[in-house]
This record gives sequence, structure tokens and C-alpha cells, in this order.
Amino acid sequence: MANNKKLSTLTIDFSNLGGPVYIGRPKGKLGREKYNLDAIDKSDVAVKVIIPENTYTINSSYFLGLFGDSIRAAGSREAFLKKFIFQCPEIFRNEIEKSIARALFESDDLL
Amino acid sequence: MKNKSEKRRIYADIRERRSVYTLERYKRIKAERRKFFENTREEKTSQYHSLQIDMLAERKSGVIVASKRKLLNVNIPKSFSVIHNPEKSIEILTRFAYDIRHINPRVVRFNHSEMEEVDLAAEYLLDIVAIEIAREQKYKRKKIRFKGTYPEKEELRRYLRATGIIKKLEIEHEYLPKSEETKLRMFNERNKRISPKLTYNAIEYKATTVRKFVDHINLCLKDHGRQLTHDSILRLADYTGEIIDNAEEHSGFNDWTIAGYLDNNMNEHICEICIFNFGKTIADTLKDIPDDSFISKTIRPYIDTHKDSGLFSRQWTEDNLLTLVALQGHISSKNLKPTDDRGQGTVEIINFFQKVHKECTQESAKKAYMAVLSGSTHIFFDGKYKMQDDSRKRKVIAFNNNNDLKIQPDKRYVKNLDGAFFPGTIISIQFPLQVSHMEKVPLYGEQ
Repeated sequence: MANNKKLSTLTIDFSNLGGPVYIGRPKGKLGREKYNLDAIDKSDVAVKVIIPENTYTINSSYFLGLFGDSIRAAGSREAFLKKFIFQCPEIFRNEIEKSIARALFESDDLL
Repeated sequence: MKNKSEKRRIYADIRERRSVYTLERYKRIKAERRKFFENTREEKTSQYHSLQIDMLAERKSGVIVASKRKLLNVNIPKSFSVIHNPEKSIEILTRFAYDIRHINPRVVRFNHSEMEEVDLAAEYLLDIVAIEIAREQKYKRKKIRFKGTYPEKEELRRYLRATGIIKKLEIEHEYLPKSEETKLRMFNERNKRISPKLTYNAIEYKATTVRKFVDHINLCLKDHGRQLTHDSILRLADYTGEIIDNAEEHSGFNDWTIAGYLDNNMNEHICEICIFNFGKTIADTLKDIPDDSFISKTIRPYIDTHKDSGLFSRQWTEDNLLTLVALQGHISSKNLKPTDDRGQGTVEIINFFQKVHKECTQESAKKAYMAVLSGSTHIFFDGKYKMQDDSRKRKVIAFNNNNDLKIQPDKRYVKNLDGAFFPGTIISIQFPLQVSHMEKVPLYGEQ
């Protein structure tokens, strides 16, 4: 029997997060609390992330403050991007990929 | 018709009322005066004391040259540059601060006559010390006068008059004419304020500063029918944001400055950027974390390797090593466990510089330079040594041919400033702006 239940979607529009420059991990974390992403990570809710055209930058500290735990909760790049759908200028795709890679990197001994 | 006695009574009544009025008026005036002088006493006691001058003067010592007229001479060297002559430049600043505290001058004379090279960081720091002492004296209601001698080169005179000591001290009669100033692009923001409570949608001062700074650079280019590509905007904003973030999070002291300068009068457009902050040095932030913390355990073997190999000396200290290690990917005093992902800011900075340098050297005879100076550690970038991935995809830059952090770095690139110490961190960059950074904007009337 097909599952007809429609999944709900949360929209995170960066224009509501005080741009066009997004920097600083603390602010990213506040955004995470605002949208209750810890609970979203454990649910089936899909997340649509809208990054406006006039954005100057989303630095990795901010991105990781907002999505870092979600990336690690997803466990892989593919799982994260399946749940979090990014609607953004192409130029930010590379930055998103780099931030995902950093979040998944496990630091061990330097030597 | 009033009789005489009634008139006398009326007059007596008037005199009494007048005397009461006069007495009350006198009491009121006296109370106001008392309040005024109390307030004045309060003003005098709430003086401004510059911690920045104290920090600079702290590690300095030396003979004080007494002067009857309380005149302090500051002789600027030929190369006043954090990038190319850090020891002497920092020594000038700390000596200036030290003399301020011990001489308490009435007149300060800046002698720039021998200066032939300057960078934004050195000049701005000098200006900040002057501004701080001026502010201290103002609160004490004492006068301090500033005098100076200009350098020989026209572009350096323009530099000082447009953005240097002249502008900072508001010596209006020495300002550049408007016709000359319009050809310069300058940017300067200093943050000493306590940040208001942060909310998820707040537009912070540092974010506004980054946006204004990028807009400033774009404005420079639009003068010549060019502008930054979207990619360059992203990189410049990213890089600037990370540095300011580092300054706020790690320094423990609320004072950072970002400045930019471009002289369109020159044939080569050399873009200068400097960002510096007072407070803890990079090595201090790593030394302050507990020995049993994750990051301490990560970097401790590295310290031990150098110690056991007998590599530490006066020219290569543990603080130098800690500063170098702090530049590596995923190293941050805020990483508490292996999965923490902090320690990206310096990686971004170095990546940006490497990209800029690669593009610059294709088309320009002028090289790009960068320096990171923190405490007594000076790290110089000119493109010779590059940040590369190690076997575990970690970004490493070791400043030696093997790119190996276990080996001592090239002392021309990572060095200890013997006798000079800056209480904070300075990042200073000079690079020529190239067409490849920019896309052409049609000028008016152009097809």
C-alpha cells in the first residue's frame, strides 16, 4: 500500500537571518536554535534553504554553526543534501560542499 | 487714600518679601553651584586610561631621555612596515608607548623625513597610540601638541595627509585638497564597542563592516571601469569575516581595526589591507587551554619533538611554534573533541592569499605580500611556501621544503622578533589588483 502522507517542509530563508553578510559561529548557532534544527534532524521534515542572490558571503564558521550538527547527524554528504535542499546561486555550491567536508572531517593526532 | 501707617506697613511687607526672595534665590544659586562643582569633580575622577598604551609599553624597557620641555621625538625609520621591517616597526611603537608613560609629554614630534616605505598596519598602529594619548590628555583637561616632518616622496606625503596621522588627529589645515582626495579610496573601521545581545536575525557591526569593506574595494575598481566578480566578492568577504571573527573570539580584548587603502594616482594599483587587534596573542590562546584538553594533546607531541631535537633557541621559540601550528587546518583552541570543526579561519586567509598571489604574478611585476605578526612571531608570505593537503587531507603549511611540521621552518619566513613584541595580532596584506579579479563595467557612452 503506497504511503500517501505528504512530508512537511521547513523553509529557511537567509534573507530573514540578517544578511547579506553571514559570519560568526554564534550567530549560526542562534539560527539553529530559532529553527529548532536539532529536532528537525531527528524527524522526517525536509528543509528548503533559500540563499538570496544579493548575499555577499556565508562564511564557513556561520554555516557550520547553523548546519554542522545536522551534517554530522546525517552522517554523509548525500544524506545531508537529500534532507536539506539548497536553492542558491551556483557560486555558493562549492562553498557548501567545502563546509560539508569540513564538518565530516574527524580530527585526530597531528603527528 | 491710604494713610501713612498703612503705607509703611505695605512697604515693610514688600521689603520682607524681597528679602525672602533674595535669600531663596541665593540659596538656589548656591545649591546649583555646589552641584556643578561636584559634577566637575566626578568628571575629573572618571578619566580615560588607555590599556592599549599600557600593553604596548609593558614589555619595553630602556633609558628615558629627559627633556625639559617634555618633548617626545618619534623617529620613523626608512622602512616602516610590519611586512618587511617588523622588528624596527614594532620597536618604534612600543618605544613610543613606553616613553608616553614615563615622560608624559606635552609635545610629540613625528619625524617621517627618512621614511621611504610604509604599510598601512604600521602607520595605523602609530596613529592609534597618538589618538589614545590625545584622548587621555583630553580627559585630564591637558593639552598635548603634535608636530611632524613629512617624508620626501609625494605619494607618502599624500598617504599621511589622507589616511595617516594628519587625518587621525584632525589637523585640518594639513588636509589634502579635495581634488587630490577624490582620487584616493580609504576605508577605516575600529571597533571598541561592547557588542549588544546577539539575535539570530541581527545585523552585527562586524557584518556591516565586512559589507562596507567589500563595497569600498569595488568602488576603487569602478573608478577604472572595473568591478569584482561575484566569486571575488565572496572570497574577500569570507576572508575578512573570518579574520574579524578570530579577533573577537580569541583575543579576549575588545579592540579590532580594519583598514584599506588604494591610491588611484599611482600606475600600479596596490591594494593594502590590514586587520589587527589588541589582546591575547595566538600563542597565548593555545597556552591558556588546559593540558588535558583535546587540542593540547593534539599539539603537545609536536612541541615535544622540537624540544627533544634541541631545535628551540633564541631564534626559534615555543611561542613561534605555537603560532605556526595555529595556522594549520582544524587547529583551534575552541576544539574540544575530535569532531569539532573549528580552526578554519586561518585556512581561508592563506587560501585567499595563495589565489591572489597566483593571479598577480601572471600579469604584474609587483609581488603580493602578507604577514601575520602575533607577539614576537612574524610569519611572512610571498608565495614561496604553499598550504597543501597532507596524507589525511589536512591543510598544512610548514614553511620548509618538505612541508613537514616536525622540521624547523625557514627562518626567513617564520622568525622570532628578538626584543620586539606586539600585544595582539596583526595581519597585513599588499597585493596588486589584476584584471582577472574583475569584470568590465561599461563606462557611460561606451558600446
